[in-house]
Amino acid sequence: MMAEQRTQQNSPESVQNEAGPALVVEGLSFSYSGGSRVLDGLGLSLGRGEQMVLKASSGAGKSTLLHLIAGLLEPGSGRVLIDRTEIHRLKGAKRDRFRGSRVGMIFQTFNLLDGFSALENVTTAMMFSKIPKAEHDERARALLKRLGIDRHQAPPQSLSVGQQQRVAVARAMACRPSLVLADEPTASLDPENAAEAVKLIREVCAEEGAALLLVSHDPAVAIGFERVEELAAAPAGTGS
Amino acid sequence: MAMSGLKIVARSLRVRAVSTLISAFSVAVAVAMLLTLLTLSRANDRAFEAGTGNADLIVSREPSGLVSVLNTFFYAAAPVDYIDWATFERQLNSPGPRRMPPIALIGDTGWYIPVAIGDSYRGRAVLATTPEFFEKFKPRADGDGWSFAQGRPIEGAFDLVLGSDTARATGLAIGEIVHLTHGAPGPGGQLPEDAHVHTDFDFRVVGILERTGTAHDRALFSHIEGSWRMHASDLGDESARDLETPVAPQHQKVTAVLIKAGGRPGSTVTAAFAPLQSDLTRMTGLTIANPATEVRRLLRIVSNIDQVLIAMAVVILLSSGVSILLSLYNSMATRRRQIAVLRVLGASRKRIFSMVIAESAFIGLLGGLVGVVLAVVAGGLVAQALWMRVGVMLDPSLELVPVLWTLGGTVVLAVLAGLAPAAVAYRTSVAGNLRPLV
Repeated sequence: MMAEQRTQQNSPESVQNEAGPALVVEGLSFSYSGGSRVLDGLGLSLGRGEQMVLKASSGAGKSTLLHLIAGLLEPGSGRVLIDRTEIHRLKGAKRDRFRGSRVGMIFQTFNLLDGFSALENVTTAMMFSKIPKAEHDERARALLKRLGIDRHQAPPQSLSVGQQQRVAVARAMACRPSLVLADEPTASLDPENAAEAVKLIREVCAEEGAALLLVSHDPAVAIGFERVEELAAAPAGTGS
Repeated sequence: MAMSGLKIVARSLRVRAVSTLISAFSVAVAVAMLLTLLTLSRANDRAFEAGTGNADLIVSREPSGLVSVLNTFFYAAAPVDYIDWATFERQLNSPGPRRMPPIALIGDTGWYIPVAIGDSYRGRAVLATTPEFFEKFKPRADGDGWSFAQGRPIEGAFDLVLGSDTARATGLAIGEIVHLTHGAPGPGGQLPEDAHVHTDFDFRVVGILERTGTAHDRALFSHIEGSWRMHASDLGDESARDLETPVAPQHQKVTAVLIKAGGRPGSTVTAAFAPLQSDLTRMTGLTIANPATEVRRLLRIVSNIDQVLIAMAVVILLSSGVSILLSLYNSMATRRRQIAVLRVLGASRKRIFSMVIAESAFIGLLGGLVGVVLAVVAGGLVAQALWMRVGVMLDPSLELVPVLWTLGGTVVLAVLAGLAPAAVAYRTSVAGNLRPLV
């Protein structure tokens, strides 16, 4: 539905609400150093546990948007609030810790760590959180089991592509995030595995109470989502 | 089990196992070289300083004092010239420039003992001397006198005492008969195949010495009277075979005389030392040397070489630090994605920086520890080789303080080498390295 950059307006009151949205994006703009503007005054809100697909064509800035939400890039203007905390106001290690504990990320190519077992890939995510160390192993095993991975000690490259995706999902959920960002999570999968992966991601997010923002160019991914919006490319020549 | 920073470091090192081991090995070789040189240099100094025993002076006809010390105390080679013993004793008892004989400076508390080197047994030097040698001469400057594992010192003209290593190597036992070979072996322990064996003179083993940790352990000790009679007989003087007949003065040859200046009992410094050395120096054609001074002179020469070698080892250690730097720096190109993922998972820039530094420090520590083990092995091998070839017994055991300093220095060097790769990791763009691989 979105042909423009502004998706949904949120009042400041909703931001301050204790049970308010998991994610609020307000007036978010971003330009690369070369001058090309990718996002221009984007706004959106995602309630707690809400699931949403943001459809976008290639080059529309969907990865950039997710990186901005995760605090990995600095916006030109606007702000991003996760659990009522403006992530870009946090500096250095504070922002890293906040991202690690509140935001789970799922990537198109999974980005599992070489040399680490499936279990270790998941426990590594908890290493930077406040989850007690004694619980790491048990929680990681439970997540992997929930996602149908039995070979916990297997190196990721020995697993099938679909299994690797599920390990990546387990890792994203490890720290009980309030927001999961999924960047083209099915792009590396065949249609059957893609549908299964989206179903699993949605189920696990619902069970964990995490909001899900899934960006994809694939219309099939959006099937079954109540909320589907579109991210259009920023107008050309609007460099900052 | 929960993950930790150290586990991530270990996993990262394991993924790059070949590069890690090569870097660690280069450090190990450098550390081993440095520690071996430091240890053997110190051990060498101690061995040479202690190996001259308690003699104040050595008198010989060698071309230099240092040569006479090396030949007499370390059995480096056979002396080339002899002292006529009767003449020497006469000079010792003749009034000199002080209107008193040099022997007066030796007195009752000092001593002088003749020694002759020139024969051997199975490649091991035989030192011919008098029974006083075992009573008054101490083999180590820093130790006690001789101690016998079995038997007794020489008494009769054809008695023979074995150094501890000689007894072990030859298997000779008390009471066995030995025929000495004419000629003393060189540093390689080799004698001409046609060397003359004195088969007509039976020397009997009467004692086996305890280990002294000096070159004497590799020697045999005969009575000088037996040596004189044997060589006199070789020269056609058959009367020398008759033990009742004194050995003719012209056959009484010695290669050196060990002298202890007289002094007050228990005193190690004596006022008689300098005038005695002066008087003896006036004896025509003799080389007079203070063994301790000669050894110090030798060590000064050797220490210059040691310093060059140690400097080279330090340079090699520094280059191994460069190896760590290059290994880690090159690995950064393939690790940007891993670093980016760790950042997404919550690792701070400082955490990433410290992990790379920890990797570097671990390579340094691993290399250092392996280097210590290599140094122990290399030290033992070098000490054994020196013992076999030169007869100098070194203690190759490592001292704790240099080991700790070297290990600490190696880790610091590795940390410094890791700074540049760690800075690269610190600055790694997260968003830029999370994009799908094309």
